[in-house]
Amino acid sequence: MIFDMTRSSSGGGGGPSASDAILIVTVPTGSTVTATKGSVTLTPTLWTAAADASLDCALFVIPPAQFDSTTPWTVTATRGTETASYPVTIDSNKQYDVELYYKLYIISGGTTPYNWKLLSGMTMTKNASSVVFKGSGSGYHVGVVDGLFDVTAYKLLIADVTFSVVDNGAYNALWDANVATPTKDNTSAIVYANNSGHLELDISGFSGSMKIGVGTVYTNVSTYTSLYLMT
Amino acid sequence: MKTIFLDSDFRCHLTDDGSMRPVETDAFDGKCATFIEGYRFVPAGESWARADGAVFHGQMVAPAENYEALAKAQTQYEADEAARLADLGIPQEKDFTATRNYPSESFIGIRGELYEVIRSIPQYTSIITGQNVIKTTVEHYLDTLKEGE
Repeated sequence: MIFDMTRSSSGGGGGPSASDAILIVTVPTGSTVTATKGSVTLTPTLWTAAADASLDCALFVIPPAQFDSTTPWTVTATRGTETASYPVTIDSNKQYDVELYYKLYIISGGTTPYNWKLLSGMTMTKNASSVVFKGSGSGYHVGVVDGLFDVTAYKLLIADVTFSVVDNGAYNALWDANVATPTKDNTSAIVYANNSGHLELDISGFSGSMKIGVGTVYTNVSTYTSLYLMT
Repeated sequence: MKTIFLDSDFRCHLTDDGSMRPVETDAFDGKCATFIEGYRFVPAGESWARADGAVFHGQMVAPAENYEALAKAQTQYEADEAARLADLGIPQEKDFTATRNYPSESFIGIRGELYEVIRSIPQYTSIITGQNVIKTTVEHYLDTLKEGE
């Protein structure tokens, strides 16, 4: 990452001095960014493009008077209705790097703001801290959100989930908008259960509207604490 | 089940250039060459790192190119295959729900693929591979016609 800015030992000319800290925040393009601590809110001194065309970098100059080892700065990115924040403690004259991503939660804890279609005997139970999908017998079972997601701005479908059986039977997937009956065999992208319970699916190749859902097999149980799209 | 070949970036190919490894999968059954070669297949137990550093663990099947173009090629392929099956007099279904009754040992074309009915399928019920249909080939269908003559 190269900025067209030279550190100045005098701190003049609008650039940072050697005693300042530099905070570089990488965000999805089209975002606005602020850094806030207490009553102080800073806007970027400089913007520059990142190597990835879908990202921008915002540079903040933090003077020594604002160094604080106990109270972190809150870096916040906003784009339309999306927002993302992260705390960063700045206590010396070095460079701090933060990357912010937007997430669209499909499942968060025991809640999901969407209606789901449960196919082929899939069942869904909302608990206090998780949403549980369970098959009801032989074969594969699917739960799919009743609606479409515009995935153009997102690069990942992520789930934090535990499986009663890790055997390649459970999965997260996307389907074409025009697929009437989503199944394991007509997905457009799919990632199967693995031992980590943290499933990431690369969806950077998609644009436009897709269906999103989960699947399992037999009477196996998949317990989701989160399922979300991420930029 | 189809044999594909993976390069070092887990990109799918239909032919081996000498540096690839074969993988057996049913993930691309019924898919055209353009579609398959636009995809990435990460086998179970392996992982792939995207250029931005994101790491994906297998088994994952995801488009490595613009999906819209791949889907367009696949749609055209299915239309061509469906027309071929229709020319043979085989009834067509748009999806895996029967819009009519199918007796055992009859044939159905679905999205360009040919299926043989192994258990009669009542109208408005699901068509399920392995339960009431199996995938088959045009050659098998033609053989069946000859046997019936």
